[in-house]
Amino acid sequence: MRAFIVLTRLRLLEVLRSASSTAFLLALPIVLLLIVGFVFWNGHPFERRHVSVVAATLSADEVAHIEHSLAGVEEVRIDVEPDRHAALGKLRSRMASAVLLRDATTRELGLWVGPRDVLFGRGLAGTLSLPVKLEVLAVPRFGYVHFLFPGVLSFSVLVAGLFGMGYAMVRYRQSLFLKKLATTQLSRFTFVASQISARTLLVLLQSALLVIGARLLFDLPLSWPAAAWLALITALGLLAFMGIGFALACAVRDEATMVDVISMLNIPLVFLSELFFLLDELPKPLALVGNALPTTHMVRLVRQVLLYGVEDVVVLAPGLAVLALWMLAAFALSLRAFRWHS
Amino acid sequence: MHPDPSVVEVRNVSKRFGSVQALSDVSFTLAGPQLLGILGPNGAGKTTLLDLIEGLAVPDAGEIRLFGAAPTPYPRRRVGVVMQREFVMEGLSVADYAELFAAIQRVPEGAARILRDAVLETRASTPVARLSGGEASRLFLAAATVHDPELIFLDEPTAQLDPESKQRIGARLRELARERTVVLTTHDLREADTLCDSLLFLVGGRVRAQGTRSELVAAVPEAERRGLAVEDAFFHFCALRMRRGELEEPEP
Repeated sequence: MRAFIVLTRLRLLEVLRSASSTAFLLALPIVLLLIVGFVFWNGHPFERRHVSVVAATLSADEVAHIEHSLAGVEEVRIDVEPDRHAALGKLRSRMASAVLLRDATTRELGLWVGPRDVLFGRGLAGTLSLPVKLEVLAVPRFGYVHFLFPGVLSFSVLVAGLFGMGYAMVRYRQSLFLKKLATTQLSRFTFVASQISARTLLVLLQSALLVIGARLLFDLPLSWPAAAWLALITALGLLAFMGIGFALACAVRDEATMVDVISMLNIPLVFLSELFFLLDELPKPLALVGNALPTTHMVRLVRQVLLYGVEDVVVLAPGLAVLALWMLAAFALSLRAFRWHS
Repeated sequence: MHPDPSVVEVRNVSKRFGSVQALSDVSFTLAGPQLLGILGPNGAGKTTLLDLIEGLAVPDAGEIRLFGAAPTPYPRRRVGVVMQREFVMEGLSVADYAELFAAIQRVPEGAARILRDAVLETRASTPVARLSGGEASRLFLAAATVHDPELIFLDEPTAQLDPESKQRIGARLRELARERTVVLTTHDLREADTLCDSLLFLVGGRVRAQGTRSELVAAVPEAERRGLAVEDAFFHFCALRMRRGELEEPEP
């Protein structure tokens, strides 16, 4: 009995002596509750229907009329899309319930809906009081899986980046491997570059398998230009996440704490990175935070190239620039602040 | 092998970690090929002193010069280091380890040389983690010296080795010290007695005595001689003074 009591006390102390373990155990459920509460402050994210309007095919008066007609309808939100391809891509991936566009040849104003939204389409057509032709688009069965896929890909890259750099660097420092290397002629640049190269190759392989799996199992749309963009976005995203992992390794002392920190970071990012729903559904302050995150931009970029058929570098440039900025800032900070050995 | 009059110069070096004064006013000079043993009990400051000389930490006060110059940039090509605890990646084979350090130290054909020097040619595919203590020590020493450094540091290289392995490592160190300056730390007085040309006694972060083995041993009064010469010298210079609490004044 005495041994039982002593072992129980020691096990309790083992956890409670570590600030990160205690926080993870006691505070995490509360933090999770607060995150969920704030994220869904405005209600269920799918309560509101999105109507995509291809403004380039309509006159300014028509767009104004549509906006005016739907201004008082609480359950409908209007998204202006650059072209037909992007708008129908959103309809296929179930992120839009209807698309309004004028056909280039027939000049008819079409209201496109999926097979399950015909009733909604009729109601919408009546509310708009415009001569619209209701068109039913055959949307893929796995449309929402297609919408989720960029999030799955981005998060696997995020975790690989944070662990690949952050965890590895803490482990190497703790085990004195970095100290050993510091006694040799090896430059820090060569070491960091080798870590990045190895992880990039692994993650590109991982991503390729993920894409092939999604293509074969869930009929994910994929073209050669999209695959090329995907490789570039994945590599850039990985570099940004590895930079962040490296920056975390500046502050975190041991491997166990690093695992806890990465796990804690992932939870809010799941809600704030447009993984399951768009940031518009979040309260404004959270949407602002989400808009600044590299995960959000990576998810959006992947969605653009895979689902909306975007190939134009000008359209993708802002998202790519955000990822590049995160990468540069994180690596600049890390290379200055990282303690190579204690 | 090295033309500089002094290979290592440590002048009035001090280092503090928080409230712990790890080193106080440490000074010594090493010139020419030799094997110096830095002796002291656990916590004496031996590893800290090596870290400072190896350029892995910066002294709070004092100056360190290598090969007659300030070590900026640090002359890594001329220095080899074997650490007290060497990390080995999981699953890494002896051949991989040799190839890694040959590449890092920029020695073409260095991998074969490491295997040869470590007498591990037949165990190239064995994971380093599965080597015996003696085999691993030989590998680490061979890797740390593959680039023919003029100055070699070893932090307790034979700790936890069996007598035969100690002897083999010792023989290799003597061989290296013929043409190079070798500095090792140890708290094994017997090993220091048989191995080292010169000794530096470090206790409580202070140098208690320094000189050649024969100089230090000769200073021990007949009445204090018990058998092992270096042990007698160590207790003469350090232990008695520690008991009397005379740690403030370094030995002349």
